[in-house]
Amino acid sequence: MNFTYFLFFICIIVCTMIITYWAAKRSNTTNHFYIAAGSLSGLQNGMAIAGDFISAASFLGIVGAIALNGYDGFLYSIGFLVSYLVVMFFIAEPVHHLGKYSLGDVVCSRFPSNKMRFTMASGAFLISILYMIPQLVASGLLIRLLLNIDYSISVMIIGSLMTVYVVFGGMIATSWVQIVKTVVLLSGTFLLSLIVFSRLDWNVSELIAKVSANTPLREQFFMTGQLFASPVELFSLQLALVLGTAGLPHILIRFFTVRNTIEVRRSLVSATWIIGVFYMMTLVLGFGTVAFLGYEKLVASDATGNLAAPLLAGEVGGDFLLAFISAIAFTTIVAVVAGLVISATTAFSHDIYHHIWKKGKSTEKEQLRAARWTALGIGLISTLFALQLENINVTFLVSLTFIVAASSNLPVLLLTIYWKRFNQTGVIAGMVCGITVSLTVVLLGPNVMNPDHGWILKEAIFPLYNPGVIAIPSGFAAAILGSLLSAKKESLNDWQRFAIFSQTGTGRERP
Amino acid sequence: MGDELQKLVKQKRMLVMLLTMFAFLFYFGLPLSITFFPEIMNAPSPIMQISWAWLYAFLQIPMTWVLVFVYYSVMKRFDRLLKKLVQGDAA
Amino acid sequence: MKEMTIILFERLGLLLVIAFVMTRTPGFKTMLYREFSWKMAIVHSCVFGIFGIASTITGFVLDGKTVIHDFVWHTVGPDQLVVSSSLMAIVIAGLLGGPVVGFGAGMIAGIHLMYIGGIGWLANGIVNPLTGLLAGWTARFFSDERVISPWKALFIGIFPPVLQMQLLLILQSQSQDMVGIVDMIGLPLVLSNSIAIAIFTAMIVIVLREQEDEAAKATKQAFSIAEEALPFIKEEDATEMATGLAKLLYDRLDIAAVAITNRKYVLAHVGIGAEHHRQGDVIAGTLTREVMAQKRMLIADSREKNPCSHPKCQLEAAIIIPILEANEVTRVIYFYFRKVQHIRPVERMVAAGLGEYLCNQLKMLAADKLKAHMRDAELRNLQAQINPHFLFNTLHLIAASLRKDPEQARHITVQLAQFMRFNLKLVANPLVTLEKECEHVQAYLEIIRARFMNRLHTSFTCDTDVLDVLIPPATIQPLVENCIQHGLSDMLQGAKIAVNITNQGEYIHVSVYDNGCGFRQDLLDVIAKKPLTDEPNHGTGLYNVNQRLTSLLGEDAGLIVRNLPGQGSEVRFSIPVTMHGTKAQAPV
Repeated sequence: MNFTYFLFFICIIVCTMIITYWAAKRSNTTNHFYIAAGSLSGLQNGMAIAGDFISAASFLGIVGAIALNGYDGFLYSIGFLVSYLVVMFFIAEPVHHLGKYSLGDVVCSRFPSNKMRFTMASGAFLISILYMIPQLVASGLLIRLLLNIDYSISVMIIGSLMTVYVVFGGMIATSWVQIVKTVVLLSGTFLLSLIVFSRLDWNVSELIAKVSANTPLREQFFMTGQLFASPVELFSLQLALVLGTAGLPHILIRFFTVRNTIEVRRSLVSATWIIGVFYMMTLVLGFGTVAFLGYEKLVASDATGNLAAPLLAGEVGGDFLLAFISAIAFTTIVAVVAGLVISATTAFSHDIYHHIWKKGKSTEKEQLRAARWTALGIGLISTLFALQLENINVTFLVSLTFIVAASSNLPVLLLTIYWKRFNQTGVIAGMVCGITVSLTVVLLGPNVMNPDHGWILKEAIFPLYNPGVIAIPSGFAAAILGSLLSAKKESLNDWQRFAIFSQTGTGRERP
Repeated sequence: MGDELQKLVKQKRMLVMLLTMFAFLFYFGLPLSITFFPEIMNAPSPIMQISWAWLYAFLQIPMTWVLVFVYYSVMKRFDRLLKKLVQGDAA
Repeated sequence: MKEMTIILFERLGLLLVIAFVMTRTPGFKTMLYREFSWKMAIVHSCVFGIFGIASTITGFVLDGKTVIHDFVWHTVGPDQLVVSSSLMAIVIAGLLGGPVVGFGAGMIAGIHLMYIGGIGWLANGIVNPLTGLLAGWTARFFSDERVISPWKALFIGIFPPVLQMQLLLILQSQSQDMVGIVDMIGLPLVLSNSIAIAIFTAMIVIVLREQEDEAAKATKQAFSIAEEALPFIKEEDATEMATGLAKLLYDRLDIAAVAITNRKYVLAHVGIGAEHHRQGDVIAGTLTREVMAQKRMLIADSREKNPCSHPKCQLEAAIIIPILEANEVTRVIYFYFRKVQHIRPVERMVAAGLGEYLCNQLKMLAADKLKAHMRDAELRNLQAQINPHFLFNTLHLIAASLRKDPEQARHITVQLAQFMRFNLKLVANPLVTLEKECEHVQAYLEIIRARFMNRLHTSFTCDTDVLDVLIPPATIQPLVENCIQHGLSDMLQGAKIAVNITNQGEYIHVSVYDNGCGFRQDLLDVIAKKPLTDEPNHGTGLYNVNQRLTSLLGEDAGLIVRNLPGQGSEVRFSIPVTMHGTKAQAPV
């Protein structure tokens, strides 16, 4: 049924192009380009955050993880959701008060210096690219499933599409694409869940029975411990998940797009509600996949279970529904990728180009042009990377990103906002160390170094699949030690004013 | 204004501390219980015969919602006080 | 699936034709103005609901895998599925009329579908009101635009059929066939519905643009009429004004004829029927009388109300507009039409607007004239001020001289009479010849000399070749009076006053000189510019003269006051020699 898919595919592309065009007509100042000129309401922003966050890994990966591994798959959802508490309590409001366009602004409001900007910008850049790659990979797999197009071509299509969005639309387009996508995603998922239930005559225990019947794990499916061999793995993963979101640049810069603190909180309220509801539904979908599709069929398509949701749709709704859900998944990916490109672009063009290279003296037009060229460049780079990574496990890359974010961005941000003794050396130490340690620990871990099917065919040095419990504390430690061991100090008065300002937004001129 | 403001910020900090502690206990309690009490966790609970483990995990979702909501409502009062302070200062 | 797509597009083509016709009706355009009233909402829901029902009827029925091509008039069997495009009508109802209209229309179409029955009866029944509601909310969301753009409508139109398919799957999941059915009809429905919605929205955009263009044109026309009518209104001659205005209106407006009359007869008639509606014809017709009595615009919609003696007169209807001046109808304008149906709202608007505009203009003109009259009266009033003290003193002088020097008394009486006669005549003219003014001054000087005898020496010179120049009356005498009262009041003897009038080519210089104490320093600047009512004997004399000079001849003709070095003061002014009179012209 290639024809059906193809038509739907075209439809979705055309519609999102139109939204971008509409946004492009209005987006001709840097303010607009970067942060949608403070025009989003709390609810809208919340939907956009949810849209940014629920990536291909959430929609496709988790449904698959639950279908394959039962309980332990669900733990991913939990970790993802609870992490928003950390964001809301510690990070969101101060970031909103302290910065204007990027995380570099936030740190520089306390330590104004080009070195700081550069550090934060590089961190944001790296994390965004790391997050982007699995999205492109997943999309490549999806398109390959649907249209039988070669993987490389699909990746290139998606890569160029999202680059076009950002280059022409800036932040508004992606905000609205996120919002639209969230609505479509939620309703589509909701309706799919309803279909699942109706097939079972609305009987939940029937669902459970069917699931048990169809998985090789039988009753074990519902037991804990299928995925995580040791408690350390479990704990390490939970740690990384709960702390990671608070270090993701593309989520944090969403707090610049609203007008005031109340809207910041409202965004978080709506985002957590949406995400929570969504994860409840993915649970149903995960079960449904096992119940209707069966374990074997699922694994036959893709060993990592990434294509569970679309396959379920195909099973209960025929090709029509399969096409629809795939279109939703596609939009999801595109939306998330666009958000990531924005954050990486901001990091480069605002912080590095405007502040460092041009010493704060570029015109708005120049900045805009720089931003657009950056977007183009980033799109190219990540597409190139994704082309090489066809067989990589998508969830792995995402959790790696979380580990990196929680070890580098998070310590720096937290300590900047809350610790008196923190200083510039601490920033650099924390960032550099956090990134290095997390990357090393993963590269030397069983994901990469695996005698069976890793890139490096040796026994892993660090035996953890989820090395968060090592990387994260080292990031914090580096930041703390870096500050303690260096000489620079800051005046108490300044610190007090800064602290109050970051918590309340008053008492100081915005930088 | 400085003192009043500091007091307000301290109150906010205490609220955050309280909520975070609760959240972390609840959240990390899950992997800890799984590790140390696997039999209990896998035993069926009175609700629909699903195991305690599932119940506990599922409850994390409403827990998050409740905490978010509590924070939001308390902060509304905080905002009002803050505004009064700032205006009083400007006057 | 291809077959179905084609059928759907065919049927939708039909519906779009109906829709297009709908957009041409005037009632449709009112809906585009978003004001909400329950009555209109119900009406619109019904209209779109019926449209939805029509869409269902022009749909088709699916029986297993075969398509039944007939229109769907009756209920269908339990194994058959109705495929209807009602969602198109419902979505448009929601987009244009908001959630209420969308829901209402959806209910109507949904109930009809539930009645028709078939496999998907519940799903079809639910999806229509739901879609209407959602479409309405979406329109609210985009409500910064008047009507949603066709592209966005296209995007929105994709989702309702998808929703419909999903509802089918949810509610009828028992039949295994459902999946196959959905596969078959899903995509055709999505395609056809969304495109139809987009086309319909585009139609609406065109209608709106038409409307706005029309409005813009009408406004432009109205403004240009107003601008060009102004010179005619100012025209004094009644017939000229009427003819010009009638021609202008006839040219600009698309009407059969224009006539302008006064209370009794026709002043001008331009257009059809000009042969028998002629100038000077007496006005007939009860409606005209009514208009004049009620003082408001009326429409004559039949021959009886608008009678014409000529049997073949083609003008059947008219709009009659009264023009009021000072609350009385002085003119009546007729817009004639061949048939009463030709009277469009545009003409009605223009008529009403024109009537008001002309009234206002005339009011303003009257007010201007009144102001001019008042200014005149003011001037004359100023002119007529005579110093009463002077009168008393002179009479006293006459009385005192009566016994001692009756000749002197008689002389002064004659001079006084002369002086006063001159003063009275002042009120009549804003300008008199210099000759008359000189006589006036000299009469005054005579009286003064008699009064002060040797204490005062006066001299008066005037160039004789400018005697016919026109100047405002009583401008020189008050200056002399001023010298007596102020400058020389302390001098017991040797007082001098000299009046000189010289011809300076383009100007005439008049100067009055005295050798008295001069003006107080602080008064020098203001003395002629303000009436100094708190000074004894007022300082109004110079102010009076200055006012009249400047208001008639401009600022340059004002008084120049100075103290001479040494002793004395001089007051002088210049008058342009642009105005001449002859002895005959300026009546004395």
